[in-house]
Amino acid sequence: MKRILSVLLIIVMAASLLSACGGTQAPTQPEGPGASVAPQTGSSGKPTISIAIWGDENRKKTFEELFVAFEEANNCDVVVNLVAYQDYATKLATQLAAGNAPDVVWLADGMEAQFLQSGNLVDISSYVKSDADYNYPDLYESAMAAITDGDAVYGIPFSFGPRVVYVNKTLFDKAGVKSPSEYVAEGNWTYETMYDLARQMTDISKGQYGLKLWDTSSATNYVYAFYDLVLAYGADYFNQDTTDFTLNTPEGIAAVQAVYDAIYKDQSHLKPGDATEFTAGTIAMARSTFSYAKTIKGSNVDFEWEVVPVPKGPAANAPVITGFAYYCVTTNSKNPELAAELVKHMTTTDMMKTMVNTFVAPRASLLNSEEFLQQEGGKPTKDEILSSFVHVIEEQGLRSYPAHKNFSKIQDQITMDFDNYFAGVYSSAEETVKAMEQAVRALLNQ
Amino acid sequence: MRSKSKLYGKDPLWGHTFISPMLIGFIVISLLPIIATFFISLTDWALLNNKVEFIGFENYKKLFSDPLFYKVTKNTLLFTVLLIPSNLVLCLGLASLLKRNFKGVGFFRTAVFTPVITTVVVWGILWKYIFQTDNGLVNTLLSMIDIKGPQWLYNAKLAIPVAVFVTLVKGLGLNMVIFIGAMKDVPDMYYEASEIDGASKLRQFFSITLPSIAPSIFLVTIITIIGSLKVFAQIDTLTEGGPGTSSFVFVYYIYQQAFKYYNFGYASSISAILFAIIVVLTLIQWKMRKRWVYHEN
Repeated sequence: MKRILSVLLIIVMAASLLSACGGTQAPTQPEGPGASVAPQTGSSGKPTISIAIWGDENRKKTFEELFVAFEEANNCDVVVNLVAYQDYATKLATQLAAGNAPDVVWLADGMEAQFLQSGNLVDISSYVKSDADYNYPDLYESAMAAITDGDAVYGIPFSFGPRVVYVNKTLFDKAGVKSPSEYVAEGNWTYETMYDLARQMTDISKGQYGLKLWDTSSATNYVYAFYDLVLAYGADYFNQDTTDFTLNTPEGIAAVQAVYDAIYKDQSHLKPGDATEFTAGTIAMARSTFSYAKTIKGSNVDFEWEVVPVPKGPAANAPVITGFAYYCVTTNSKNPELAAELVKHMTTTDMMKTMVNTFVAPRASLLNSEEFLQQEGGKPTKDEILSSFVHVIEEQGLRSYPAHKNFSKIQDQITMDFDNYFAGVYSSAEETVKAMEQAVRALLNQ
Repeated sequence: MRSKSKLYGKDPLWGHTFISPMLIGFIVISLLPIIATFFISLTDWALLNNKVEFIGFENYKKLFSDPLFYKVTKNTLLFTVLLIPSNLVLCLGLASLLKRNFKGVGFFRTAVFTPVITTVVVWGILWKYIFQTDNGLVNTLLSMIDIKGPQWLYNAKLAIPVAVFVTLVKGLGLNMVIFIGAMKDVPDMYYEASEIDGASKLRQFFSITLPSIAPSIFLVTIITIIGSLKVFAQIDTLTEGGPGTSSFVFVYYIYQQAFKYYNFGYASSISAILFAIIVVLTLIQWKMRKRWVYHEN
């Protein structure tokens, strides 16, 4: 009897293990929303759409509530999967390989180029272009550049991160130094002025710094971190079709040198690795994305702050450059038509207005809407928003970060070279840029 | 022997039943992936494209002409070379001090052991703050005595030593406990006899304690070498391989290739090389143990 029981126990355990391992479904590669794949249905018998997002439980709950109207209108269930941002791309790549990726995904920070070029996204152009009410042309053309291929549309941007400069007005008032907003009003708000103000506002003995250009607390993608600065100096990392590295010019070297000098010569900028936040009240000026305003408001800071645009450089009309976050449908989707409808539903002007306090959406009509300009708590003010980036986009244009099949390696290489400069391995900006040129050209041509 | 064979003969199925969850788990989670790694290393599998082509030993040829691979090997060996002796000396010293029963010994043992139960990622992040350049604890303390501390984690020469230090402090407690246990097992009569012969405490340590606990030293050395060759979390949280590639180690390189660039084929070839290095080093130590492990059961 004992033996029989033992054998049964082993069979049950082995079977349960095998069934757990065999849960994945065979990959399917539908060519578009109309591909003939049997729709996936949930336990309720309704079609089920899964969507992967990053964020926290509160965001998940918000989205679940937002999806109720879509579920009722389409008689389906929408399942929200919360994935940690740092694991997002890896998990999605693994799921795609296993054939069980979510129907709808968020992609950002270059992920879109990787997944698009590897053929993992579905063309949803017929859904968003044909409906006049959707107002597809209202989406900034530059925001669509990285996610379109000819007439094909592989995703819709729902958020972007225009950079602004946050100013600790209390520190400026105490020091009796003319504030950046006054320079903006005079039309003299340049990088030169900003670096000069940073020197004036630095007092190392008090742990007070004049400037923080990027999040120094952790390793940073320096391509993104310095792109607007590089463009403002009249340089660029790459040529127009991303086939050549072009930073090795006097303008490019000047841009790199200026950052280095602020950190190590003037000591007015936080050093790499320093986790001090603007909200601590010891940093006079911090350049960050517009969404950082929420962090400041949430921190209940005991100082006055204001928002000004990023300064102008020698190339005064440099475009605003930014990354975007997109809704995309994966080729793994068993319900690609419904998934495309969900993307469309979530990116209408009305829906983006609903989400305006969470995401800055790249729709021209939205950025000028009262819903967006009247931020919670009245901060940043309407004038601050308009002058810090809305008018700048209108005047100077918007540009998305470049894409290349080797972009992950390229940005890692550039970041490593900046790191080497900041760590003293390279002795000059010229040497740094030259090292980048050699390595990046090899990667561009691979 | 009789009782053993009786037990075996009576109901071996029960034994197999009880070990089967672990055995199946080991086969599925460890053994099969290890075998699969060798096969994947012979392909150009890029996860995103999900296309697999057999390319023979191309990944290995590429690996041996990759300058970063040699740097990674050098960094990993430096990490190992710095960690092993400092780990042994400190753990033996602490064990010698804390094996005695004096007032407050429990507090000190707990203090040294606490980092062992701290998650390695949390431990790394904590030390990242401590080693911040301007506002970190270390440099703030140094500035009190007018010393300007370096960029600990942004200095190509200091990144690995700092990572070694952080790893060392985290693992001290466990190794110390192993050594305390071994030292307490050394019969008192050896020390009593040597005292009669006039041996000093130092002589007793080198001539009695060390040879007697050689099996434990051997165990700790093997565990530490394998652990140091597999170091990842500390590097990831402290330096992310930087500055530049100055703290790139084997597993960080594997992680980068597999999970950032999705080059599973190439990453598997690095894993295979790391596996071979660990096996060879362990075999060498195993062979050499006869020369310096005297009291092996």
